[in-house]
Amino acid sequence: MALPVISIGTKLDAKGFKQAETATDKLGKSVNSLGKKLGLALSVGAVLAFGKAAVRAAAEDEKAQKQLALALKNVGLGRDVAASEAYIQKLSTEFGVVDDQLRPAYQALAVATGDTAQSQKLLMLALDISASTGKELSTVTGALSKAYLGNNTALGKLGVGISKADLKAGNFNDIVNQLAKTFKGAASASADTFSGKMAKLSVSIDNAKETLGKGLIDSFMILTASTSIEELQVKIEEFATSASENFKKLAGFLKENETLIKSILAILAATYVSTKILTGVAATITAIKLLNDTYKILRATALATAIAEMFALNPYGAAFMVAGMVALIGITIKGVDALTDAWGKADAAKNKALDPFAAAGQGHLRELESRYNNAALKENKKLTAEELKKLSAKRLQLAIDKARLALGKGEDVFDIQKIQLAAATVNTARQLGEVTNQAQLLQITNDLARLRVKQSMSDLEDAIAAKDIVAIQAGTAKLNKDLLILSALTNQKLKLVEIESILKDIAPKDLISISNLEKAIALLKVIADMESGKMPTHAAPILGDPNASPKGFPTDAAINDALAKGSFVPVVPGTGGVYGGSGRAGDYASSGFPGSAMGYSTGNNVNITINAGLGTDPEELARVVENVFNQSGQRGTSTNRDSGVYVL
Amino acid sequence: MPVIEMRGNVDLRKALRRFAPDLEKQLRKDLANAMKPVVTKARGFVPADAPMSGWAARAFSEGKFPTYSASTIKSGITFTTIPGKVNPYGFSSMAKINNKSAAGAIYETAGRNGPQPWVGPKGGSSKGVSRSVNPEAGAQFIENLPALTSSLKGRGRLIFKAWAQDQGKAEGAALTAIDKVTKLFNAKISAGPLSKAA
Repeated sequence: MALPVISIGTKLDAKGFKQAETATDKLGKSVNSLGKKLGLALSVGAVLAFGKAAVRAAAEDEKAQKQLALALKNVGLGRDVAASEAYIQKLSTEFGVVDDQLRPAYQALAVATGDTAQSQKLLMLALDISASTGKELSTVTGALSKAYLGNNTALGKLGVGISKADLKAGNFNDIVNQLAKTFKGAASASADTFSGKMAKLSVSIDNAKETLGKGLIDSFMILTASTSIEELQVKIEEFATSASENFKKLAGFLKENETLIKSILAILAATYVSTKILTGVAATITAIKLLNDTYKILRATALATAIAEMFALNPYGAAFMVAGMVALIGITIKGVDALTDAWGKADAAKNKALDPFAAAGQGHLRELESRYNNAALKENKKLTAEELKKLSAKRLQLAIDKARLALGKGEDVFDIQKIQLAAATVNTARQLGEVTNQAQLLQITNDLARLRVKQSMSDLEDAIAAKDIVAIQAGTAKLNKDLLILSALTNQKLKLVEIESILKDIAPKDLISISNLEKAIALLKVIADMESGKMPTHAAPILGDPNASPKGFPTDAAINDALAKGSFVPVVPGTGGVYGGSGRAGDYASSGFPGSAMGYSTGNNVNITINAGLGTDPEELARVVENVFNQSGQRGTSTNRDSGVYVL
Repeated sequence: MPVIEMRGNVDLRKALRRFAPDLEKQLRKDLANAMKPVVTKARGFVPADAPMSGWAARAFSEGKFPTYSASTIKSGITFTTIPGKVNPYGFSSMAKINNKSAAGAIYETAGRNGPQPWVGPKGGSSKGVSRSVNPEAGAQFIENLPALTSSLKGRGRLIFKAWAQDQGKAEGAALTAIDKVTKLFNAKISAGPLSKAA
């Protein structure tokens, strides 16, 4: 037993750290103990214990309310349940008497009296008597109830100052009035005392417990989707069996998704340096949503489980363990909620403005992305322009090539010179088919040769322009050859074989016919024999086959006609050159001419028209004619009287 | 230079006894002067007779409950200037006013927490309960005693009542004395070959 002591000059003796620690520890225990008594939440364990007590208090209070309501209903006072409950709460608050005491007392009085007003009056009297005498409220109300029903024995035992005679003789109302007068204000006076005030405080705390407990119950019912407390109790009992497992599941879920969470963070880190920020954020938000949905499910389960654990386990021994669990869950929930809120805002902003960075306060990233995209776009445009330019150049080159090719092809088509040459060649070839005498043949041959030379010259020019060495050499050789042919034709110094080959080479193949060729060859032979002095023996007479005439000689009319046209008189075969040829050529030549020995009258001048080829040198022609006449004079077929007049 | 470190009252008193016995003596004298009035007053509150007949001393009693004796109670109300031991909380006092007797303690503190719960004669052997035949014994005992007087040191009927009525004068005087001695001691030590931290 601690003796009463008044200590003076008390001082902390910090001699030794251990003593101080012991002192503070013990002081802390005292404070905690005080906190428990006062219902203050000083620790997590205290909170849990308080919560547990609150829940129980709320449950019991609700049960008591229901019981009172049922009792009032049974006695016909069902309409006054609310008023009665309000009155009880008022008394509880005013006089510091817990409603757990007032309800049973009121119920007893209500059952006895059957009247709400009388019950409230007697309850107030009971409070006064109880406060004054120190008797329990239930004892007083019980006595009053019995007295109301006619049994005053219990009332007499209360020692309320009523004599036995009065108890036997007096009616209840008189007794009540007397008691009211005797104990008037006792309850109020008691409530004003220190103890009464503490009692009021206690009542307030109890009411707070009940209110808090009711809130907890409601929250539990919401979390567990329970429709009644009984259902909640069943669910709690069911959860209690797997409380630890559920919590493990939550922790395990967090652990299992640790990689996912880290991956999400990695994605977030990567998207900040990538242009595909929107895609990355959208994917991240989707992943977080899935995670949050799962968290919500487990959160409700885990919390209810943790609370069930609190009920199931020994609260004193496992309070701190449960506190740790709840704290961990709370931290997790808080973290998940914070993450959910953050990403919810980001998602909302994204859906609203298609800008996920504005809501998250990351406008600089959006700007950065915009700049990046603009720069990339410009770069693409730049590249595209260059590519297009190159492509255009390629296309242009291709077009140019095609054009050149076309031009190259068209050069032959649109080259006027070549067109003319082609036309002349075609025309000449056509003429070759229509030639009727050797002169024409020769002329056409010359024309073809000249055309050939011209064409060779054009080809050589093209080869030179193209700088094709091979073509140049070939063109040069061909041109020389053509020139040689032309020279030969002009000077009548061609060999048959060469002429034949020339004709074969010159004339279009399709226009060359055997008959034309034979005719041309025969004519050329004649020309060659004339040059060499030989008389062609197999020259095909232009005037026709000598054998066609009766004697093979052309008729005079034919000769004259031939002479008139200026053609040569062929040598009649088999005449030894007598007819025709140069020997008789003069006769025949002159026979048709005026003054000729062949009946042609002399003294008449004859104009001989010589058809020369295009480009024939007149002087050359004159020399040729002169040579003919000179030869004729040498042969004696003509005389020259030195007058420049040849007489044939 | 040796340093004397005094932590709390015990060290101070030891230091005083060792290095300044005169100051120690002076301090004890001052404390006694401060506490004597309170003690005297407290003794005066002790009723000469037992507040209730049942508590009076009897010639023969096998009961263990201490009987009332005014002289015993008065002699139990004392003071001391010896520094007390450090309590579990690490505190020690420079002086104390005690009510040492059992009856005095009962008289001093009865009713602080209300009557003990009544369990009756067959209520077991637990402590803090009333096993009286009379269920109201505890309440009646308290009712027979004077009301408790509240003071800053606690509620009581003797020393606490005297302390309350003293209204802090004794404590003030005691603390003044302690401070005075402490200063004198520090001054004396500082001037001497020893320095201290008190």
